Amino acid sequence: MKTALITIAALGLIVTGGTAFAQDDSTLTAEELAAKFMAQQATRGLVIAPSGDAATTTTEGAATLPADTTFVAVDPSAQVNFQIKFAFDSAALEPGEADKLDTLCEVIKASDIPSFNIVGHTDAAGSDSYNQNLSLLRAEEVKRHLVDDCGVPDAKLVAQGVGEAFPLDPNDPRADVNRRVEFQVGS
Amino acid sequence: MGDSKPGDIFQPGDLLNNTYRIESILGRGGTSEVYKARNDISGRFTAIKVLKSEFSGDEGFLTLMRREEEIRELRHDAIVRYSENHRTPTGLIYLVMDYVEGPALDAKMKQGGMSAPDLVAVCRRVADGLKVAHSRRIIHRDLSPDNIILRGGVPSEAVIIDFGIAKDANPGAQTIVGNEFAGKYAYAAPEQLSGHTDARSDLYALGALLLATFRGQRPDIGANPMEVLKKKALPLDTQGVPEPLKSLIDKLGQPDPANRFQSAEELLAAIDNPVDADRTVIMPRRTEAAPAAAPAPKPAPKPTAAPAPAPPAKGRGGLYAALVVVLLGLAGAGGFFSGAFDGLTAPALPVADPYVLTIEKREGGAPTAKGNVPSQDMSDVLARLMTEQGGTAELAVASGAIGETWGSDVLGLVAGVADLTDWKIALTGNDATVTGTTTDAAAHETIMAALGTALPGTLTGRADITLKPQFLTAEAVNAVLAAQADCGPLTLKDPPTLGFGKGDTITVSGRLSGSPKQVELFEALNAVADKRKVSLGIELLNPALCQIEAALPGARAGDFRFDFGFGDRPDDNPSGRYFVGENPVIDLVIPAAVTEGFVSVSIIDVSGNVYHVLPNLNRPANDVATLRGGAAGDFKVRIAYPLAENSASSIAFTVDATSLGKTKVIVVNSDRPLFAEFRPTTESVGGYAAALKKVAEAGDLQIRSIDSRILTSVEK
Repeated sequence: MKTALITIAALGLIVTGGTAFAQDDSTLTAEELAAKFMAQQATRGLVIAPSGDAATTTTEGAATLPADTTFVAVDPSAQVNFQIKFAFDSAALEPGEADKLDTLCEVIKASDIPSFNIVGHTDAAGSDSYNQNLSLLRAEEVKRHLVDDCGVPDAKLVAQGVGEAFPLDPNDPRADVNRRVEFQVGS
Repeated sequence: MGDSKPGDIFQPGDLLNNTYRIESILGRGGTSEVYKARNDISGRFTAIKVLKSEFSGDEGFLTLMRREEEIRELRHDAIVRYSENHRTPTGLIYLVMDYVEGPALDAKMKQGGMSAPDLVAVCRRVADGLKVAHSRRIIHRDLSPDNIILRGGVPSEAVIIDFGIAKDANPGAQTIVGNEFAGKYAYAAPEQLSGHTDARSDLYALGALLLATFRGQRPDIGANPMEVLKKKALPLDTQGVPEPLKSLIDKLGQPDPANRFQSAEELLAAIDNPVDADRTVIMPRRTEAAPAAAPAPKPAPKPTAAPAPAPPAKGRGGLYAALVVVLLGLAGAGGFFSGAFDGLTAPALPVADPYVLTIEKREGGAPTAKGNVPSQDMSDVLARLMTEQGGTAELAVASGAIGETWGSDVLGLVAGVADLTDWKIALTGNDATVTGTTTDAAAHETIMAALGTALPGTLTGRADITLKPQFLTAEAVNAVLAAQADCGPLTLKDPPTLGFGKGDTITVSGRLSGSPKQVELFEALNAVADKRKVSLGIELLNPALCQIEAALPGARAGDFRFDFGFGDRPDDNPSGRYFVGENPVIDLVIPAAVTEGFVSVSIIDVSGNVYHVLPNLNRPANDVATLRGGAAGDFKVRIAYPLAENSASSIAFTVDATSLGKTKVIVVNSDRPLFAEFRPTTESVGGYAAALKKVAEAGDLQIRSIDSRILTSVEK
């Protein structure tokens, strides 16, 4: 069902595999994922990072978070780096990426952690406001998939977008790997 | 009864609804034809009135047929009994009613007329029927010698037929077919010429037709409208008509309704009490007859030995008395039921224990009776009742623990339920369970009043009769549609104002997400349709398209157009069908009249992806003025490019094989940009639907039009 009838053939739109900068947890088993979420919850209090122009923002400098965001950057090693990659200028889940969510979905459903944040990111191409919107759409798309297609209770997931402010590869803000969605244990 | 002609709607031998075998044509009218038919199941004769095919689509005439069917509510021996409207597979509407065997008054008229005393009997009988009709505020409007039939040739058994243009005088009811004068001039009351009709108009027509039948010739009402008006302004000329008929016609035939009998009851009183009638009769005009008028010889008081048929009794006792009398008459003997248990016959009968009898009739079927009866006479009567309707009886004469009047009580019950659509009487000893259904509210009321609390005579138990509405309302059907719609609203095609009748077809159009949903809808409709036909005109889309269909604000279609072509050749693709591997090229054509506002073009594919081709990050300009660049007239904007021109701002598509089906290309014309931020070039249908919903809810954007076209991908 997730395969396109019409393939976008424009070269610039095709997803290209990027180099992984942090470990990708999408290959972990359900048990390993659950353990990691639990650990994140346990250490959460130790990782305090301010919102707004966070220290981790090392892009061209113009990127700042909207004032209303409650996003708190988490130590990458503690975060569940469950990356869902997106094509350039796309908020649609690629078929392979949607499959990756299956294991995660079961973990979330089984977990007694009350809330998870789904955080959408973009690369640095495009305006801040456009990217802010696109990152939110990406997070919402992942949430919609988990809720509609996998049965996670709606209230257990919070979708938020942080635009281009937190690139995974700060040295190449336009890199493919920066277009992603990540998961955190919510508050 | 005429000979059939090749042009007739039905021919002798034709079988309608696998039930009614056409025997002969009875009459041809402007809008309908009437046939005599035989019910192949019951053997009974029926009259079938069929609306000519050119009128079967005309809602006015259909409503008329439906209204005529409602005459069913009138239950009186002097009024022909109506059954129901049906529809043939080719769409012809026909109405089934009882066939009344006997000559119509016009036949009598042609044979030279009828005697005055016979016509008084006809008058009394017709007045009796009119009383019932008028009490329901139903006016015949077209009483004439050809629609009064003497059942078996007996004047006192006259039956009024053809309420085809009967007008419902209830407030709010409208005259159906225009304002035209539907009655026949010959017998119509003067006020009908100017479109006024009330119960007194029927009384005038009755007077006019009695006079014509007496004289044996149609009234001369003049050769042109002027003459008609003049003659109708004069009282009916009753010279030479013997009393008491003359006085009756004189008062019925007054041009001014205020001078006539004011009601059928008044007429009945005058017939039954001629002294009173004589005194009140107005005898104007014929001055030379004045001397005779004063000492008019009183007609002999009518013997009361042959009372007029009693009006249907409301009370239970009356109803049963009447029914049982009918039954006894039918058996040709009386008083034998009560004798069934006297000392002489009782010992000879075997004893049945339990003493059971079940009599039932299923809808459209023939009745059956099975079980014990107390006498050979009752067995004969019951068997005859069954076989007359094509049914069967398996009866054993036996004695048992039953009351003295058991036999006549049971036959009374059978007569009481006879008109129900289906019914069942189950007896064990004196204990009876009576069930049944009817579509006739009046019949339901009557029977529940009679049987609802107690059964007649020696019988115990009660009746439970269900009223099934005759018409299925559009609201009831729409509720089903609303519950089933998953791809935009489903609509009911031409729902009749009174609801769907028995033979009506429920026609639904709209879109659904797929064939499983269509099957579900069909089943849900059939569940409420109660044997009515269900016809679906459904366009099947897919769940993705349906999400968008449901989210789109309800805007009108504009004059935007999509032209489909190919990336590798200059051909058009008017069918919108593409093979796997092909490269669709799509142009949006902005109509000449649209010179401002914004256009948003999206492609929604079968897999659930939406491609926003205009505007997007790489193609931001979507205001019409900029797109046109000053050009007038129909203006083409390419939205899907040949592969050779593929770039970030000139997106090209190919059709791949992974998932085939319908893709929709859609253009929204709005006064401002549809979304505050560009949508990403690619997103899911769910994301787009959510965004559209938000736009619709915000309501601050004016959507001028939405146009779309379907692209279908197929395997080569």
